[in-house]
Amino acid sequence: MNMIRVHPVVLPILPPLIAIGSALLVGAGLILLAGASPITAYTALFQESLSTYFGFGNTLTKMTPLLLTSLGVLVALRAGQFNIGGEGQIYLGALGSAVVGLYVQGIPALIHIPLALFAGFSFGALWGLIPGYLKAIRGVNEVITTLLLNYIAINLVSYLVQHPLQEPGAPSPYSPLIAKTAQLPIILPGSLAHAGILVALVVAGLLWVLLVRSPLGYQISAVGFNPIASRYSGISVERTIMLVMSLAGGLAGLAGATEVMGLKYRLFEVVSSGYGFDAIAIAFLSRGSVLGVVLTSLFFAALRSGANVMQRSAGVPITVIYAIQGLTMLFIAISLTVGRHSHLKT
Amino acid sequence: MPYLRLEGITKCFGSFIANDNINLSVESGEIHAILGENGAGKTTLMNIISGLYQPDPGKIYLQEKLVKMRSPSEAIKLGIGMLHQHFVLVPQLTVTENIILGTLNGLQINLRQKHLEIAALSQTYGLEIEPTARVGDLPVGVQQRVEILKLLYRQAKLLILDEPTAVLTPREVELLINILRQLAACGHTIMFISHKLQEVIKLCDTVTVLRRGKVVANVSTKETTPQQLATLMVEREIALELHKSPVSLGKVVLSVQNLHVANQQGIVAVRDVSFELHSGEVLGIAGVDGNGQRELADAIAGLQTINQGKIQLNRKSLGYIPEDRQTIGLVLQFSIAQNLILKAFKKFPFCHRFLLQREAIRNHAQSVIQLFDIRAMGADVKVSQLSGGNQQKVVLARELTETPMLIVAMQPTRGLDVGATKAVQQRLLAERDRGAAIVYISTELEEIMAMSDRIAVMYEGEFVAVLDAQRTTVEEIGLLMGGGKR
Repeated sequence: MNMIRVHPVVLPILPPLIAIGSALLVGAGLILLAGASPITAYTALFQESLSTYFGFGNTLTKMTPLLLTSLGVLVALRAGQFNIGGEGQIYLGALGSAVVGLYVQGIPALIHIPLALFAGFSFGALWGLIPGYLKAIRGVNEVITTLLLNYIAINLVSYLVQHPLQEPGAPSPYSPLIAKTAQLPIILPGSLAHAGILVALVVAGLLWVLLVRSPLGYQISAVGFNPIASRYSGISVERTIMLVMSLAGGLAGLAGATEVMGLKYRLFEVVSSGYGFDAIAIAFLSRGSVLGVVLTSLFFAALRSGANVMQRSAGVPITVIYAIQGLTMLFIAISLTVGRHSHLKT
Repeated sequence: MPYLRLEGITKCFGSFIANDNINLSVESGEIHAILGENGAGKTTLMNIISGLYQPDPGKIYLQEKLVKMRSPSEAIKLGIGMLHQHFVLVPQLTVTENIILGTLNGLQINLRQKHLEIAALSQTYGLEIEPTARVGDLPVGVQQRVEILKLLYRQAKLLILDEPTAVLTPREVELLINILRQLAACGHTIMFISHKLQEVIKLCDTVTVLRRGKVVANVSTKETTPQQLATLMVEREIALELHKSPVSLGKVVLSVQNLHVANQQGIVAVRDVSFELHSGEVLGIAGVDGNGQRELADAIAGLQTINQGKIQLNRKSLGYIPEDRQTIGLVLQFSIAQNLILKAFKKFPFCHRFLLQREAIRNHAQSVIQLFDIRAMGADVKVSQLSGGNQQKVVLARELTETPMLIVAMQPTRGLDVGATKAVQQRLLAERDRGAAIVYISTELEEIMAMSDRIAVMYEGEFVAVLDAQRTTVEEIGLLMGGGKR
């Protein structure tokens, strides 16, 4: 069998491109089946989500939790850990920020916002530390623990907004409004875009420095690539894993915090519409690259925010978008093996 | 009429000749030992007989009929079964299920009847076994019996056992020997691979000695001695000339007292080992693989918990060259420069103001690449792309740049060619002349002889002897390594 020779510079970005391209291609087939024109549909989709003012604001709003949570999955992945718990960590982060937003009153926004963000980070980090501890010290597979902790977190928040945190007299389970001083400002007036995206981008930049330029990032990669060699060189693999899982939880927690503080201003029973699961796909698709995560979360956010418009203007059911997302994830697996084979060849 | 006859078997891997024109015949009902050092070509030969490899030229006759086997499943159809060193069992399944696995074609299975069949089969050969037991719950010795039963169930007439005693306790070895005798009495032919001399003499009828892929002797065990076998097994020619200055002992750098260490399975791997090592001295530790050398080395390096006893050294001044450079010594996905700072990445000048200093890391790598003669296009080359010798130089460079007072080197030349071996050895001897104390662990006798000032022989976790390298002989060490008395 002949292998296609791939230039080494192209290699890292090739798999995500193949995955996204193939998904859009198969998605086009689905749109045709639904009786619409793929070109019209895709034009509507990306024009709306990327080039209109309101639509772009909407895209940024959806990108914020996707980016933060994906960064969390990415950090864990760099240390060889599979964090499937982004969803639960988002819920915990939302809870942390909501508690600070509800019960801390009368301090200026300049203090209140960072404090609420920090609370979100800390709650998420603690939620991430649980599987980290179990993996590092007890050897329990983190895939299972993080996955199961999702359900605990979702049900915990559900209980809290139905009982102790519920707004008195509210028709459905949600908390009262958080203090004005804990709300993130809107950055594109008239749209939904809030300052959370700035927080996310700054965090992405900091994380890049941490992973690529700092000794801790080096340590994380060493543990991810070869835990045995790391241990023989005096690195504490256990501590690295616990740290990384906490950091991962913290980043997802920040995502939950920005959802509460920038978009909803309350703690609702449903905090996240599957951002934590999309994040897994995004992080895998980006193969450890922070820049890749930024771009891929933008793509996923655009899909989400353009979907409604596509349904309206091109008559394509919104489920096609879910299919494209699903296909993208499916093609990740394929694209990863493509990458591996050409790696073996070179 | 011989049961199995090999004629001119040759097998090459690239330019390396693993088996060189091997002629051999094994009688029916015979227990035939294949003896040789690591890398002598024993396993390659057995893989050819069991159908895993095809000989380049060469013929295999079974009961004087020429046979060709393209896979292990064809070999088993001809009645040739191999018992591998590492078991291939499904721990969650019962004994019976493991044995019949892969032999059934239909959709139905009568497990109760199979249990009875297996029970009957095991009784025929005196193999005590409970067919309904879960394999994962059984001790290693019994698991091995399951493997043997698997072969018998598939009607194997010729059994090949690759170092079957390596994983067993002395008591289990006794049981295995009885089982094998019983099998031979029932007309099975057995090929027994080993490097333990005592066992071979005790169990086998004939022994073929391999050295560097060639048959060097084919003798009856009644007419030979462990002494003679050791001499045959070991190479006489001196592989390398090393320049070694006379030893000048300094103060004690490492002191080990009554050390007991258990391995990861909880089995005692190091028993009551005591020694002292002086600055400027090389202590060679000879022994067959898996006699506690790794656990001893890891314990000295502080990577393994000690059950009993004491180790005294300054761990800050320790260089450790681990056994397997690719899985333990290096992070293969990292560049040369990154690997060189694996132990020092938090320290100045590599880390300053909380950030890694690329310039300093690069400069360090470039000077080290020159100093240790690492052949690579540059400091940013991934170590996975380097040859084995150059990979080992990266490990050496990392471990030796801080001029440690104690160096523990575990099989540092394994898999290296002659030139790279010499480079590594000379580098270590230079460290000795600088005043470092070295623990040099190897399974290669010639290497131990060439490098050491004192030689400890390790057998089943114990130091069975500590000898002066000037006064001992390769034969004596070979004999001790195989568990022979002095």
